[in-house]
Amino acid sequence: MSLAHQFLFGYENGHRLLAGSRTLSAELLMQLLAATDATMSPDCPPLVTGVALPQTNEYALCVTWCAPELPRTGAVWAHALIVERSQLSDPGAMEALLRLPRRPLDGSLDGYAEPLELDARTAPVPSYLPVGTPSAELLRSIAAAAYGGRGTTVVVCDDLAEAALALVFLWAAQWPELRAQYSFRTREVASLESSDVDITVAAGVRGAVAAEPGPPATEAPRWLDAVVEDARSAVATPFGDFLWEFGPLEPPQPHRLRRLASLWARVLDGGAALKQALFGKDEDEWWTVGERERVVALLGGDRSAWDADALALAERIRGLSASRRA
Amino acid sequence: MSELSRPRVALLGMPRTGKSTYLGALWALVQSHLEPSVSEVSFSGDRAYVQVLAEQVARAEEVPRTAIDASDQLAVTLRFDPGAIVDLVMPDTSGESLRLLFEERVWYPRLRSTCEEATAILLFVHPERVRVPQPLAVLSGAVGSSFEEEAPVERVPFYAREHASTAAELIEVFENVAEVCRSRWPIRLAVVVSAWDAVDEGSAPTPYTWMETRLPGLLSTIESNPQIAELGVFGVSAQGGSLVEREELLARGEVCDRAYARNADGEPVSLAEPVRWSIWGA
Repeated sequence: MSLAHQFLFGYENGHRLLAGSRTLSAELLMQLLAATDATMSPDCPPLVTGVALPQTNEYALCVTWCAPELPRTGAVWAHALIVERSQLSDPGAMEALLRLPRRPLDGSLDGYAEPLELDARTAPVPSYLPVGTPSAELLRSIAAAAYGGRGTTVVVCDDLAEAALALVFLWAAQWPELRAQYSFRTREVASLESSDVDITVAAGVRGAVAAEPGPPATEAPRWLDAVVEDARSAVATPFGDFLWEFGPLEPPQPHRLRRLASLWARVLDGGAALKQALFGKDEDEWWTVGERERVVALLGGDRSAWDADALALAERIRGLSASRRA
Repeated sequence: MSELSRPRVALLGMPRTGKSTYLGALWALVQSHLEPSVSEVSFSGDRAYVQVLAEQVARAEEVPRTAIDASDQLAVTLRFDPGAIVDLVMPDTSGESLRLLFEERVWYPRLRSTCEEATAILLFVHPERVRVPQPLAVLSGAVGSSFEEEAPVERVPFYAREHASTAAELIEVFENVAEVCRSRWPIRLAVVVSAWDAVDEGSAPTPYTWMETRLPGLLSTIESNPQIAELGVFGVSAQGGSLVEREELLARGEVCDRAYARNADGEPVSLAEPVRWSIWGA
């Protein structure tokens, strides 16, 4: 059975590690202190944080709760679960991981010093997330910002409980290699300073203007529909299967998910659109071979399979000739 | 004024030493028409953070702790009496990040960059949270027995987070901070004894004599290195008294009516004096 290491943070003359199932290096401790600490008002729902730990090839899922019962205003409880990256590709372990974060009862530190089994059959229902499915509108806003459609990685949303649910749904829908690299968090207030977190959903921001939820449905890119539908689905979707098949061939970067989703939208449009997306002019990002080799291959293939005009073959040949003369 | 010449006064201190409370009281003072020593000329950035702090101090509430990854700061152009204008940045830091430096021997990146860029430092100490060095006889529970008797040999556990004296912590901090701001030696460093009202009763010591008594090791370390740091010592009461007596505090009026500060010699000065001193000196 796979195991998750656990660490409980709380207030003891400052936010600090109170219990854990193993020792942490100073570097990891510093990273987890930052991931688990947050400014929270007493009525703030639990905050979620997912952060990659590349130095140990692990991943940390953290939940932070306001702790008004503690003697210091602004004190929080936080439970961090650390798993090996490879465990993120196991659906059962993933489901168990999402169920494990728990707030201490009556301040007791009991049960936080041993590793936990990643067993979805015995893990409790997560108490830090609301029951249900996040709204498509919120998922669309977060996905647009996270996967590169907006230019900002902070989304404003008043309902941080639903935002936590949406972040978890989107994370779980990613292919495993991307999951293991991807960082996310909810925060009551976030700064718009540059951050190394892939996506932050906050109830308020300091600084300039953040992305507002809910892009107009008529203008939302079609790739978002596939991402949202897949994230909300309780069963595997064809797009999800596509991501898990071809995602591992891509670098584990959020914007690559958008490119795959855009390609998927072309698949739905039919063969011509797909060929255009893969073999058209300036579609360099999919290829490790150069433009010259691709044009030569297209010319050598069955002409009935290609629309030479749509693929701008004549223009591309002229371009290659000109560059060779230069 | 270039960015480099803009004074950056870093607020440092272990957890719960009054850094954010001071910032809130200072901002309340700046905003008050009744306070002549300092006023706002213009503000850059987001004032929500300091405004919330100031309102909490005005309501005589405990200011919430600063999260470790917070990047809050006061960036403002101030006019100090009688007319000196300064474009000032005061980054707030979490006590946890300073504690990491002592307990784990690692620099939290934001703390390090704050120290590297600082032109002056306000180092906060809470007088009721000072751990003084203890003889083994006391720590092992031998109190009351004759010191002339042969004490039983007992190993006294030592955990830095629980047992290190405040002086030991802050000397380590001084050494590390001095190292990263080497290019600006001698840097002005003010030790700010917060909650001075807790000390300031009866035959109160001056802030300087308080340091001589309670943190002599830190005092002599800084004073022995004038090429590294120019030392200032202040006592400040940002709330003006204990929050336990909140109603009494509120009855005394606005923040500028109850907050106060003392210089090293115990003379009354403006609550903004540690900041003014950190920019221009004595």
